[in-house]
Amino acid sequence: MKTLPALLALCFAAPFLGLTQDSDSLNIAADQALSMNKLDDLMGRAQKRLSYIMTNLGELSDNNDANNNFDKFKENLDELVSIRSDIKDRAEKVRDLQGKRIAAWTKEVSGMTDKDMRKMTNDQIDAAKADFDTLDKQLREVGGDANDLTTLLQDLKKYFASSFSPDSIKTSQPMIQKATASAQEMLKDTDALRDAISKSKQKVKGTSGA
Amino acid sequence: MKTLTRLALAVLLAMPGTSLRAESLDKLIPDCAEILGRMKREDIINMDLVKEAKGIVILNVTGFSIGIGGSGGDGILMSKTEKGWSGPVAITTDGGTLGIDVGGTDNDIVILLMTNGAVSKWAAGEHFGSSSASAVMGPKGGAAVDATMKTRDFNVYIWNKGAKLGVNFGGFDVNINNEGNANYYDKPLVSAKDILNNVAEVPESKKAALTRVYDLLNK
Repeated sequence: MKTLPALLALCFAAPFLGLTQDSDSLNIAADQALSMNKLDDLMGRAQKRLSYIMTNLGELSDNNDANNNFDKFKENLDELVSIRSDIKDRAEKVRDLQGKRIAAWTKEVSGMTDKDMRKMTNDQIDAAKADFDTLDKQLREVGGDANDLTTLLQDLKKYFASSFSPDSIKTSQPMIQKATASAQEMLKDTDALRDAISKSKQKVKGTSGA
Repeated sequence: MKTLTRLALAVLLAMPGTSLRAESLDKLIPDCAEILGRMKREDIINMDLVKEAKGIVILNVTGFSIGIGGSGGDGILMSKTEKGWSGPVAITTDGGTLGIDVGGTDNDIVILLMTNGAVSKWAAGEHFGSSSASAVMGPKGGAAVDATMKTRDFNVYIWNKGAKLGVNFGGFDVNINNEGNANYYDKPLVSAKDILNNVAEVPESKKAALTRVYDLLNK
């Protein structure tokens, strides 16, 4: 019951407490949401590239235009590695902005005089931290699996670079099957991660500093 | 120099609304998965209605420019069979104003084909006149699905940089990208009908990359 008057008070008092559209935490939240959009775009590009790689490996296994598909596989893998690097940088940027947003929001709360309002905002900050921690855990898990998959694909590239023939392609089948299965899992996990990023982005845009 | 510009402009204006590109299915499948994934993620598409659909079209349509009219689309058509979703048929669309209300932009479009007749029309590469199809924007994700939505020919979903546009549907041709289908299925004379009925199966080497589309449709 105490929450309702506190909420009403917050609505009326917000413009005078520096919690307007110009608040630091809100500005950082906008940057963070934008950065999450860019992260999502990069993940989409990585998924496309991984799909091409799966097709290249499938064609290699069937010995269809093997040389051409090996060249495309190398090209797509190089591109995937480059996108992975951008993803890592972007994820760090999102983490950094999360830290800055929470710090700015906490500072804004310290300026609040109403006890109930301060408690309510602190609860919101705790919820925002917990939400992001869950997302970050998922990000790190998928990132770890992506590292393993990239290593596996790089090993295949090295193997074929040293010996590329119908026999070596045949010998590499268990490795290709493992890589293909991991890539399929990766596509599914990345879709789930992008769903989580999208939901988290909505929360980032909708809670900070208000 | 002015004459050259005028000449180029005249050629452009005289050009029929043909598609400027016809991508391979290897490229189209990840692109279409991306379109479908985004529409699901942003709750644009109603997945309950996807379960009721007899077929699906996933397209990227580009308007050439305002005033010229006409647009080119590139995408896939799939049908629902007893064994689940069929393999993809590569299609292009020419002309008309499919989904384009603002002109000169990229539009991602998903069309749920709710009747077998609608699937057959797309598979036959027909011309869709402006009054030949009953098409409306489909209900949003999570919204209740009623009998009308299940029985109309099409439910259309459009995404354009986050904006949902009104449906402006008609006056376009559907073309079956026979070359793209032949390359993908490794069968020179493969028909859209054979693909949609699962008579022509997806080659083993292509299955892994297609799984994401199936996962997104079935989840």
